[in-house]
Amino acid sequence: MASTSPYAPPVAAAASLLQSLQAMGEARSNAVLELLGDPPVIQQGQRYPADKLRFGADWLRAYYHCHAEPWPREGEHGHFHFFLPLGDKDKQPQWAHLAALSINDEGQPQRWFTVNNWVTGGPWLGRQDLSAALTRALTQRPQTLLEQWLLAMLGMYAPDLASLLQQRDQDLHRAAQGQPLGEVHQDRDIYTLATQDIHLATDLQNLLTAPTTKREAINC
Amino acid sequence: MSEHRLKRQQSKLIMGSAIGLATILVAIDHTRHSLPTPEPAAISDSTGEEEMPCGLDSESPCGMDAETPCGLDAPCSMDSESPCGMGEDETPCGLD
Repeated sequence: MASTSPYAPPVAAAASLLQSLQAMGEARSNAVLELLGDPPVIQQGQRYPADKLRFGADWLRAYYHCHAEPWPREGEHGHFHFFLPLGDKDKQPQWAHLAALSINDEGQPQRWFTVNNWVTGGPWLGRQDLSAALTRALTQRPQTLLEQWLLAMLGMYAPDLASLLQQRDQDLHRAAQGQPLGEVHQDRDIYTLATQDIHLATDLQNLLTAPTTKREAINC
Repeated sequence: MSEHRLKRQQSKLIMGSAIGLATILVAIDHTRHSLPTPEPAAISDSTGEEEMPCGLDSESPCGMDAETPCGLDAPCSMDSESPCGMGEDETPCGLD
């Protein structure tokens, strides 16, 4: 059983993310390069790893891929998709899509985004269910550097992801215009829903320096 | 608050922020590495406008065609723990 995780609160997750970045930097690597092997090779339309990442004590699954024509996403190299289990993870759960993380050509996270249900399939969970499942997954300790980076990104942006999912649901309801949501979920004209840009340096700074200054101020 | 204490606090605030930002920027910069250009997808038998990337369907499990181009599981995926069908009507926990 995993011990209490330092990765769940955004500030602790930010510290963990910085630590993982420093370790990857020393290895001249980044999250995507960690996946692709040496020499790094990637093919459009393939998932990396082929058997998916299973982490957070298997409460989380993810993979990375790049879209091929006619579905390339402008301005990105590829993206991670994250999934959370519906039900007991040990009893063949269904996997619900949480969000995707867009990566640029230099391996830097640039945006969170959500997609319509037909894009990923699986059950469609609302914001509260996904946030609760994510919170549970974030209590687990990472086993690899890549897992640390992924868990830290999810933990650091957990509040933002909750807002993103709320926006996703609002976007979908707005798009429905009275249609049953089940039909809207399968509407091929609706692909990407809510998005949120990532400003990693600023976000890390806000989380990592603010607590320090507050602490210093209290000690004065 | 005395002027001395205020200056000391401001000094700590500035120092803390400067160190933090420099450390962060260096750490991020050291992970900036060009990713390999994606190679074209393997040619699959299925063609046409319905094609989507990262296919997961039974006709081309790793090909270009799929009903759910970014799904986690697929009928012919390598995941034996993929009980959830990807059928279009399945939204067991949907909002409707």
